[in-house]
Amino acid sequence: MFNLMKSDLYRLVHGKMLWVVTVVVVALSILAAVAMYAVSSPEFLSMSASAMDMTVTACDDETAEGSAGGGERAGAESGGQSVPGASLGATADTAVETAEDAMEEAAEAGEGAAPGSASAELWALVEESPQALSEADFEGVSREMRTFATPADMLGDSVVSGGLLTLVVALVTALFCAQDFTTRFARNLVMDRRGRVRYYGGKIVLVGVLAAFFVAVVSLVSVVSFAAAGFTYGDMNSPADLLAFFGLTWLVVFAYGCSAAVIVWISRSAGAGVAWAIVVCSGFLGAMAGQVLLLLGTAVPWLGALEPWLLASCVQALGSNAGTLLSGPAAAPLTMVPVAVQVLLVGAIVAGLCSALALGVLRKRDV
Amino acid sequence: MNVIEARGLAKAYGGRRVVDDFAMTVAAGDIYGFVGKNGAGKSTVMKMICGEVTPTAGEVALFGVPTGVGPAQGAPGEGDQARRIGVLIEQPGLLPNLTAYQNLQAKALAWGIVDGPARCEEVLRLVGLSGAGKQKVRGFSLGMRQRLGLALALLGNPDVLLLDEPFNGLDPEATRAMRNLIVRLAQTFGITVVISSHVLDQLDRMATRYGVIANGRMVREMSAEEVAAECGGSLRVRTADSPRALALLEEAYPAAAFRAEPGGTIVVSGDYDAEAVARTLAGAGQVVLEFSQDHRDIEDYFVALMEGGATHV
Repeated sequence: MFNLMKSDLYRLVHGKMLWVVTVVVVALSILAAVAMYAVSSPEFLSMSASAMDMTVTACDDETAEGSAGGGERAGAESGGQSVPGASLGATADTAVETAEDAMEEAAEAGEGAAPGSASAELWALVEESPQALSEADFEGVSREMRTFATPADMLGDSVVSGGLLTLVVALVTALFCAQDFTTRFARNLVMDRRGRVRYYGGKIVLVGVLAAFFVAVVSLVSVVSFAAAGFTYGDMNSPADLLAFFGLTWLVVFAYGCSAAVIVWISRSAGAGVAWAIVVCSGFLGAMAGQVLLLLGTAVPWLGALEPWLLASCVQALGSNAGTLLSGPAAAPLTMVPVAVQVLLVGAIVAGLCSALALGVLRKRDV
Repeated sequence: MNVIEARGLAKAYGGRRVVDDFAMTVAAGDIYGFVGKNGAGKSTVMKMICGEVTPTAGEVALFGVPTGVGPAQGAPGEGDQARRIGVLIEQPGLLPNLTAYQNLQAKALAWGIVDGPARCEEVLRLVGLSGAGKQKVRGFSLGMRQRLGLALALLGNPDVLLLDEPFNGLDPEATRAMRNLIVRLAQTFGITVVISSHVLDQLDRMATRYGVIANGRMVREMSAEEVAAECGGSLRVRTADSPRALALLEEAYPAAAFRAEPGGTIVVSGDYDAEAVARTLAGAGQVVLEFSQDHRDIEDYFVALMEGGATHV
């Protein structure tokens, strides 16, 4: 099994695919740091605040007009954002509330874009007294935005949540596994069923190695890029926290990689594997399924409680709780286990199912 | 010693048996020509022998050890029996983005071959590709690909080579080079070769034994000498009194085979002497209307056998 894995690594190292994908991933990681640097710059914040100030003024004006007009024409727009219900003859009071809601949403959006809560304070200041903001205020907020709570939080935000890591590992896995069948190279390696068990076993180990490689590369590049861009940390994670974060990140990436490999082994098609990687392993389908479950959960509560147990939801939970995986409260419905345990369970189950399918069922299929 | 023995071998796809009750025996040192029409089941049999395809029924013994027992057909790197078979079935499994050497090295690593780099260089030399070792396989001609496929099959230093249509798509020069290489491997290294091919005149120049498959069943196995004897020719004789002539000849040449055709022609084959037959007929006062010798083409011979097999199933 390890001989087969050594052979696979040899092929990857001497082929182009691994290096091309690595270069793309490194470039995207650097780009993320540059984008965060630009967004958190005082100049950008000042520019955003000016835009926000104009929006507030527009909202206030429209609210006043709405009141004067007896509420017939409600403040329907806020910062270019259409407010649902405004065109349905809402009252002036409702219009005022709606405009305020829109402001709050904008403030929340600003908060979400920054690593800390500094931008939320900025938007609150903009709302209260836009003229009072000075350059020093923006610099202060910028400093705060450029300070992550912990390195794990930075990695959770920039590396895990976006789904790029899972997508990349699944793509490489799908293309590499499919190559064995499209080129018929597998026929040089595989003999009988016992040989196939070792073949699939070797490939599963390889997915684990690929997951570890890309987690390491992306994490390292992100840490260096953010440090070079002047980002700092409020606190450092304990070794146990970091171990938990990297271990669980590896597990979910590995689980997604295994799922892509199984799809290729079933279909013997690179196209099916790539489609699976893009639609499922990027988290896209998982997010959609999560929304559907939450929607159904309003009628059937236990369906809604399943949403956190999707692998895609676990990736999101891992990203947003990266710094507090071991100390966080029990959150997952049904069993009320902490996020770390939830991610561990789901990742292990998915990876285990894929491995069992490959080693138990797929090995019976002729190469 | 028999290196391959198959008994009652069967393979069904979707309920249809493409190979059924198949038997085959290959002795050490044979160059075994495996002959059959397209779709007769040659490739499936070869895949079952090397373990690539699991038989629906029957058993295969390699080097006297039934497959599925002990280390026979174990995984690369562990089962000695598996390593003793080199396989080139259908197209060679090559990675186009890697060089010829890297293709070999990838398999050498997977098989855990000791001193892999040196062995890769050696088999490249053996198949005449040492100068192309650093070239990407993407740019290889069909002949070079086949030779690299053969190099991959030879990498594990096998005792048996299973080659499925190795001459397909090759030009005459490449075909001759491939044939000479196979013969050299058999004669110099004592490798037993099972080779399926439609190019019967190429098989005729190197095979020591033959097996004919039709509709998934082995029709007949025979030595090259037997084939030569049966293709050696036949005598067509027609006389004014054919029944009397047939009786005379059967009595005079008990080792020969006789077949009476419609119209009174007698076909004599096997052990006979044309001149002696002519004298016998003249001595008995037979009026000879036709006396001609046929040399049977090996292709006609095998086609007849395959057609016979077709009606058998």
